Amino acid sequence: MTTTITTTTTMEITMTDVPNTTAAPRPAPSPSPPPAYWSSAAVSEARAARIGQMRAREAKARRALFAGCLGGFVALLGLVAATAPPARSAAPAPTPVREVVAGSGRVVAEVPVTGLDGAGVPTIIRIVAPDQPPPPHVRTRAS
Amino acid sequence: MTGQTRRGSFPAMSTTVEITGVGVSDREIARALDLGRRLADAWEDRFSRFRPGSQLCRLNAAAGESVRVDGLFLDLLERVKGAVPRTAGRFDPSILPALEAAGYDRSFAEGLGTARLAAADAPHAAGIAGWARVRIDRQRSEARLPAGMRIDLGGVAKGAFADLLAAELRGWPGGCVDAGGDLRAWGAPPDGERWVIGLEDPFHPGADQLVAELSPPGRAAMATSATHRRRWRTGEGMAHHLIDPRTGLPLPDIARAVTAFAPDVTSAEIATKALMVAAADGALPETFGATLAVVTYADGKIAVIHEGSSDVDLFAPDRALYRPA
Repeated sequence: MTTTITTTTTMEITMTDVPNTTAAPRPAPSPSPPPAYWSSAAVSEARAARIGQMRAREAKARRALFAGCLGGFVALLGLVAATAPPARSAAPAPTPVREVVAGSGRVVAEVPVTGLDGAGVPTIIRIVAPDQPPPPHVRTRAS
Repeated sequence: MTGQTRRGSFPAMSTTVEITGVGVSDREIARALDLGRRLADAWEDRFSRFRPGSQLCRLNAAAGESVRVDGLFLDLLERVKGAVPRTAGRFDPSILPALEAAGYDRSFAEGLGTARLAAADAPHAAGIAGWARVRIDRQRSEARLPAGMRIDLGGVAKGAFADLLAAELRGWPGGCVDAGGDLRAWGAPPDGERWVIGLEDPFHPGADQLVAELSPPGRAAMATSATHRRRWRTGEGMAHHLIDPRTGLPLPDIARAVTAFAPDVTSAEIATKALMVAAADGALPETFGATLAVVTYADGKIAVIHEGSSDVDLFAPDRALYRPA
């Protein structure tokens, strides 16, 4: 999991760099052309406005494209993280131990067991700490 | 679920084997007892280390050479061989030299000596590497132990006997084979809706510290290992028969008893031995093939662990409640 996170960070950095490295540098403002003898100021202003609008549309399209790519990549990473098998921890987790007090007739454990003698019906083994144990049918003991 | 219950018992394998039959006739229980005696006698011819000429004695005496044994012997030897690496060597029947060095070199009926226990002199078990060199040849019906290796199959052989006898009686509506506390119960209980099985309190032998109920209708196999039985005095205090394979000495007084429930009694026997060693290591909750295990510690606390769970329930029962009347 740690490796995945590291990779993600790296890729995000890369993606952050993308617009910086691939975006075309803005052209330096070209010197205003000398007014042609046949042009008029109104025509020049309209042309400059159209160029400005075109540049604004291009910049907006680039931003939208970048945002789309970034969103897709993040979604892909999320999908990979969600479907990847859980990472093994290096050290075994400490055994959780619950300290409990045996109460009256308390069921200490109840475990279904299947497959005994090829039987399909599970046997339920219930370990009980009763106040007054009933006389058992049999007793397991060391011998 | 209730039926006519009949019981009978016979001595075998240094203990008492009891058969309980539910919904069976006197004749059926008598026949089962007769079958049990014959199987037990044949079992001791295979697995007893106190019966000269048994297959086990011949195999131990001829370590390093191939010895002819029968299929049932090979079956158990194969299971044992597989269990040693599965339990990381915590279950290891090659502790026989250590057991004898500790004083358990003859049956209890003959009375044990007063051996001295010295860590430096204690023979170690063969371990996983030693067991990897045990040869099992089914075609020739032969087995071979590495030179110097000797094994004791006492407890696990008793468990396998309970499995074998119970399999012979499985047609009964209900029953139980109890080979000195190694139990296999199935079908209808003697009364009520479920089998009720006492788990002996190692601090008050003869009384139960917990009760296991099996339903419905219940079938289970279980075994118990404990340090309060098969004890003897040595030059350095009391010893018991549960040897730590890594040290060659009786286990330290950390766990007093383990009861394991498993699909068969043989597996339960293996699990109890491995769990006694694991409890001394503080290495629970591995169950070593047991479905459920109850570990009683020397300080009186009880841990309940079950397969597939990393949780351990630890509690201290009020033992005064469980004293026999």
